[in-house]
Amino acid sequence: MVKGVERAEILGYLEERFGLQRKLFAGHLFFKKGRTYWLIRSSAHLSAAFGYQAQSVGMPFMKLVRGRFKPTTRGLQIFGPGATKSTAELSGDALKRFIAGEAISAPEGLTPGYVVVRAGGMVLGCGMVIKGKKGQEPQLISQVPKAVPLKSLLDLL
Amino acid sequence: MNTAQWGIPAARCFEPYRSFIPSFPEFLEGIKGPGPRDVRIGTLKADPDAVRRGLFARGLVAEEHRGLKNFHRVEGEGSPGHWPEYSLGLVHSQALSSGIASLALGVRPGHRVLDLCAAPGSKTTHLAELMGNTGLIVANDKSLRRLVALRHNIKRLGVLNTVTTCYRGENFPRRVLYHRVLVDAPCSGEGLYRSDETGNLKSRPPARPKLYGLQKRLILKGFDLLLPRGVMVYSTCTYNPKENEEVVAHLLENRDAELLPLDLPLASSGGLTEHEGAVFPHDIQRCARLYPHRNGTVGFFLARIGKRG
Repeated sequence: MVKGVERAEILGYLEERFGLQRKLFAGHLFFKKGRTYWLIRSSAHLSAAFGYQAQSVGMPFMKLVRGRFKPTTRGLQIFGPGATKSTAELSGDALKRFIAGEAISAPEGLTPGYVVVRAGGMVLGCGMVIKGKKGQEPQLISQVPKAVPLKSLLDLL
Repeated sequence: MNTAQWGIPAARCFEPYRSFIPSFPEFLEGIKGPGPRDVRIGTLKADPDAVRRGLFARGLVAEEHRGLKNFHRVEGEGSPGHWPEYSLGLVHSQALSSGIASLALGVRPGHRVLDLCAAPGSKTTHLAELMGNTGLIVANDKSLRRLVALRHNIKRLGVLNTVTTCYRGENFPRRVLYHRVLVDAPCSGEGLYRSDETGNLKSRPPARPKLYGLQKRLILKGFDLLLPRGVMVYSTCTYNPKENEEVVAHLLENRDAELLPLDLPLASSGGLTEHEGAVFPHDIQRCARLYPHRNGTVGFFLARIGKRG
């Protein structure tokens, strides 16, 4: 179980980057395996599970990528609606190109790093803002895994 | 494709059950053509009413099934797996009878629940919703390959109260006891068989596998993992009494278990008290048999079992 300083670092990142208040995670625990942080609701029964060889605990919520925190798409779909910072609302052609996996111009005001991507009032998942090349604006690229196919969204939005 | 080349007549396949399947000719008519498709609107990631409005607006689902909250019959040709709501984890394809099994377990928020044969996770994720993502579900399956699907559905639907394990169900370690145990046992799957318009089954059914030994071991294990006054549901999607009433009777003979009444929102027949010379305890009638021609859902068997304490 992730406690103390490491838990504080995770919560600090989520608050600083996305405006997600620490109290949102008060009833949740983090577990770490390799470079993946798993999130599960806290329960009086959880210690019962410690006696088993668990294949998974809750769901994967964050990963360490090159030493930095990266939220998962599924994690953002749950907590992303509460984000007040680092969010990108997409529509029209920009949305189509994002879903197709193309780099698009990042909406104004976003700093490099991971962002919550939204469309039509729904959280789609994780995107990443990267600095543009010389003379180019920052770019937004999808971090949504292939296991979360978004193409059908275009029929809806 | 000429299915007559490899299908056998449904009437011949199910002839051994003619004596107890109600309105047998209607049953044979009822399994013709494609099977019914239902979805469950998830409750963990979005307001289900908002999702429902979107699905209604596009003509994708019918009205909610009476007695089965958030279950809807799919309309039209498309597959729910291609809907954006599916991709976003807002709906899940699940048969009505499968939903009944989760409901019959009577889970409450804060419970400790074991789903002994959980993959691919329709009932596990439904249980998590019924528990409001609280308490703990231990979702077990013996197959690492099938656990991939289970874990995918857990992530997709926003389930946060579940731990998965990979043990053979009959050897599940006894570390703690559970308020509720679900044993949705591997079975011959006869409840899923469909026929074409000529009455031939759409696929050649496998030789009826002899799963009775395993099913008996699973039901005993599930019962032994119950807290006193806990509740277990044993379920299959088959009609074979050897996999249903005989397995439940085996439990009643070997443990201090009692069959609890079932109050289902779908039409059902009671469990059989005898079959092919075997006589089962009278209380077996409290079990439920669901048939496609009575409910428009897959064939199913349920027993709700209590542990005295």
